[in-house]
Amino acid sequence: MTTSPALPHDAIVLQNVEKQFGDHVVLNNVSMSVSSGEVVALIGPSGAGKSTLLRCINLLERPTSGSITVEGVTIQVDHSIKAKELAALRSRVGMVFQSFNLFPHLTVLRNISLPQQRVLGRSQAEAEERAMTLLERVGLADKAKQYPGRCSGGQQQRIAIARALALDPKVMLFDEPTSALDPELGLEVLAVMRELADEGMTMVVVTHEMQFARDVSDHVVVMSDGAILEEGKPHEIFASPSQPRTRAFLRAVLDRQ
Amino acid sequence: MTVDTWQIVAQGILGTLQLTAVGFALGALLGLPLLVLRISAAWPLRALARTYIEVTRGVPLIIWLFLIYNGPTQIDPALGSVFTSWRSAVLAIALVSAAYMAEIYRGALRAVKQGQFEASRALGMSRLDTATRVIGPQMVRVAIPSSASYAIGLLKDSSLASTIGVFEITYYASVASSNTASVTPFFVAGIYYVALTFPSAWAARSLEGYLMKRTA
Amino acid sequence: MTEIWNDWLTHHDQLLGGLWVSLRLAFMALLLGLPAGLVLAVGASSRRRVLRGFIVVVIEIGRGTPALVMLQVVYNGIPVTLTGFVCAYIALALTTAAYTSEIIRGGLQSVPGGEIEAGRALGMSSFDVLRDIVIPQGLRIAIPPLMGFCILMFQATSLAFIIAVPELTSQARSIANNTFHYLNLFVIAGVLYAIVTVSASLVTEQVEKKLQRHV
Ligand SMILES: Nc1ncnc2c1ncn2[C@@H]1O[C@H](COP(=O)(O)OP(=O)(O)O)[C@@H](O)[C@H]1O
Ligand SMILES: [Mg+2]
Repeated sequence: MTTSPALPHDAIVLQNVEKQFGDHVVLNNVSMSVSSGEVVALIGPSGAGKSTLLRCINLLERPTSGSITVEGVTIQVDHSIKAKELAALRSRVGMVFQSFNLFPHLTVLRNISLPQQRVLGRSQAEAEERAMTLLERVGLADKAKQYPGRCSGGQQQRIAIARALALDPKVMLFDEPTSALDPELGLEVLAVMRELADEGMTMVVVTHEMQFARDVSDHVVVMSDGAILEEGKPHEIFASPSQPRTRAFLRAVLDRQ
Repeated sequence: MTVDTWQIVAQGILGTLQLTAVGFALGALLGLPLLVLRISAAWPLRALARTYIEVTRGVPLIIWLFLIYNGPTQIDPALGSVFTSWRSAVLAIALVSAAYMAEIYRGALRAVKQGQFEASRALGMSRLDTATRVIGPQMVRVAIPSSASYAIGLLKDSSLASTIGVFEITYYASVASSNTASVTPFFVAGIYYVALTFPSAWAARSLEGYLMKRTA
Repeated sequence: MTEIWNDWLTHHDQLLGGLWVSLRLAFMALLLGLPAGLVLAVGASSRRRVLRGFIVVVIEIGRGTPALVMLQVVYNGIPVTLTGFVCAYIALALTTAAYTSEIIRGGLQSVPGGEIEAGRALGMSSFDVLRDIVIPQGLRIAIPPLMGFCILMFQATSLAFIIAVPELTSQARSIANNTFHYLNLFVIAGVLYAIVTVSASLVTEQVEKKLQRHV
C-alpha cells in the first residue's frame, strides 16, 4: 500500500459469465471490468445475483460458462482448473463476508497469521509481524491475543479485513460487510474500507449503504434478475437513473434509511 | 459356506428378535415409573432413581446376566429352575433398558417447551389432560429416534445372552463353530445382525423424517 | 454382606489384576480405534461418491456386528496365532473405529460452512481447511460423546472373557466357578466396574459443562 499505483489497467475482467443452479439461471451473460485502483459498488434488489457474481470472481462459485481474468491471469471456466491456479487466484483476491467467518478456535493473531503461513509459506514470525501491523492499522492491536468470540461484530469484521489484507491481495471483494452490524458498528468498518479505497486498493463492494456507494465508489453497477441493469458514475446513477427499475429500487432503499 | 451353516444360525433369528422385543418392551414400560421418580419433587426419590440409573448403566450387561442367572444358585441351587436362561436374559435386559429409557424420556421431556405446560394450564386443562394430550404426544415424537437407535443397539447386545445359553443367533453360531472348528458361523451371524439392523436403522430414519414433516 | 467382604479379602489381588487388564485393553483399543474413527469420518464426508459409499458400508458393517461376534471372528478368523489379548484389542479397536466415526462425523458437520468457505477464499487447500479449521473444531464438539463412548468401550472389554483374556469378568467367573460364590463375585465385579464408569461419567459431565461455557 506504500507503492504508488502503476498505470491503471484492468484488474478484473468478466466475460460472458453465466451461472445456473439446476435450470435456474442466476447470472445471465454478465460482462464487466474493473480498473486497478477503482472502487465499484454493486447494488440491486435481494436475489439479483450480486453475491453469486462476487463469488464467481474468486471461483467460490464456479460459473457455468465464461471467463474470468484477474490481474492478467485468465481462467476459462469450461476448462479444468488446477488446484494451484485456484489457490493462486484466491490469494490475489481477498474476500470479506457478511457473517465475518473468523475461525473461533484461533486467537485473533492466529486467524491472521495462519493463512499466510499456509498459502504464502511465510514463517510464523514473519506472519505474526505482518498480522500485528495490520491489526494496528484497523485499530485492534490490543485484541491480538483474544478469541474472536470476545470481540464485537464491528471488531470481528475489521479483523476479517485484516486477515484478507495479510495475503497482500491485488483486489478486495466485500459482500454486504456491514449488513449484520448495528449502524454505529457498521461505521467503524466503513471507515476502514474508506481508508483502503483512498490508498488505491481495487475493490468490489456489494452494499446497501447508499451513502458509502455515493461518497466512496468510483463506479456503480446496478444488478437485477441476474443481469446488469445499468452502470455509471455514482452521481449519474443516484441523480438521474435511466432505468425505471433502478429508480424504484433506489427509492425503496433510500426510504428505508 | 454350506447352506447348512446358514440354516443352523438362522434358527436363532427368532430368539434374538423375541428377546430384544420383550426385553425392550418391559424396559420401555419400567422406564416410565423410573422417570416419575427421577423428576419427582422429593429429593430422596430423585437420588434413588439417579443412583439406580447410574449404577445399572455403569455395570456391563454381561455382569447383570451372570448375576441374575448364576447368582441365586449360591443361595439355593433350586433357584436355578426359577432363573432360567430366557427369564434371566429378559430380566437383565429389561432392568438395563429401563434405566436407558428413563433417561431418553427425560431428554424428550426437557425438549418440550416450558410454555406448553403453562399454555395448557392457562387454558384450564387438567394435569392429566395436559400430560396425556399435550406433553405426551410431543414427547413421543422427540423420543422416537433415540428409542429406535437404542432398540437397535439392544438387538446387538442381546447376543450376550448366548453366554448363559439363550437360543439366539450367536448361540447357534458358537455351537456350529465349535462343532465344525471353523469361523464361518460367526461370519454368518455377523451378516444376519447387519441384515437385521440395516433395515431398522433405515426405517427409523424415515419414520423420523415423517414425524418431522408432521410437526413442521 | 460379610461373606462378600470375605471373598473380596481373599481374592482382591486376582480381581484387581483383572481390572488392570480391562483398563489396559480399553486403553489400547481406543488408542488404535479413535484415529481410525477420524479417518473413516473424513472419508464418510468425502465428496467422492464411490469412496463415500464404500466407507459408509464399512462403517455400517462395523456398527451392525455385535462386539461379541467381532471378537469371535477376529479370534477364530485370523489364520496366524495371536494371543487372546491382541485379538480382543484388534476386535474392540474395529468396533471403536466404526462407532466413533459416526460421532466424529457429527462433530465435523457442525462446523459452520461459512468458515470453510472463508478458508477456501483465503486460498487454503482442502487439506489445510480440514486440518486447521474443520478437524480441531469438530473434535472439540465431539469430545463429550466420545468420552461417553470410551466408558462404553471399557464396559465392552468384559466380553473378552469369551476368548480367554484374563480381564475382570473372566477372573470373577473363574473364581466363582471354583467356589460357587457366584452372587458374591459378580457383585464385587459389578461394584468395581461401577466405580470406574460412574466416576468417569461424572468427569464427562464436568467436561461437558466446561466446554459449553467456552463456546
Ligand atoms: N447455492 C445455491 N443453490 C441454488 N440457488 C442459489 C444458490 N445460491 C444462490 N441461489 C439463487 O440465486 C439467486 C441469486 O442469489 P444471490 O446471488 O445470493 O443474490 P443477492 O446477493 O443479489 O441477494 C437467488 O434466486 C438465489 O435463490
Ligand atoms: Mg447476497
